[in-house]
Amino acid sequence: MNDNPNATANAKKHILFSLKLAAAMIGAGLLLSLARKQGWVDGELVQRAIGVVIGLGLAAYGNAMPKMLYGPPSLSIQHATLAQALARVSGWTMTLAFLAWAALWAFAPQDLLVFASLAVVGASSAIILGYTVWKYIACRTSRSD
Amino acid sequence: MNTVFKALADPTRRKVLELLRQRPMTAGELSDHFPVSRPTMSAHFAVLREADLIEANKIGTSVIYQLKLSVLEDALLGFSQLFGIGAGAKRTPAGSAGVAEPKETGEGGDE
Repeated sequence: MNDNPNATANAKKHILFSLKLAAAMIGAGLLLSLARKQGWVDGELVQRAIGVVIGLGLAAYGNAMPKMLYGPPSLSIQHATLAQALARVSGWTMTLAFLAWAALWAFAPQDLLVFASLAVVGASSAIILGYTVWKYIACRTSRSD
Repeated sequence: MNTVFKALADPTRRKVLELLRQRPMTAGELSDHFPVSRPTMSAHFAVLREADLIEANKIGTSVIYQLKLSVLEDALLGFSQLFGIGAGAKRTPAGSAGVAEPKETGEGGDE
């Protein structure tokens, strides 16, 4: 409802989720560094594994994003529709982009790696930004009609 | 996650989520799409809210329901719609898959 009693609990849950995700990513990075120092894996493998961990971690965050993006209650139906559409599109785009990022770091050739992964993330950011601007303009146009 | 599968197992609740994909709606608008009583619909809404798949917000004097699906839940909903999971389930007067006939709810008249 409007004054949602669960809002604080939800915010705490989301912060906790983000902290756990960050801790898991940092932990994986430290373990990989340790493995490299011990001579168990070589430098390139560590670099790729860290890329995959970052990709999967951010894909997990993108997956949960549509649930987290709800801030204060909407002022109108149009506002709620806009917020819902933006949350869904950004969540899907981020998840797919970072899954692609993880796949690239796992399988792409070394010389293509950085350019391709940055291109994927850049394209996803452009999609989210473009969609936001388009929906905002469409919303304003329909309101002024 | 069990509550999510339970919520998605019912065709009526999947249809509610499908309608909410288009835009947030009031309880009355959603109920108009189904040939069931408002208390029954309220029970479906309660299951969806319990699974954290929808959120109820008050705008003015109306309560609107809007989607709150993670990407994975959205994909699960798409798959369950595609393969019609639960469509052949035995229907009870309150729908199916774990919806008990509610005794009394005021949500039908939330608008």
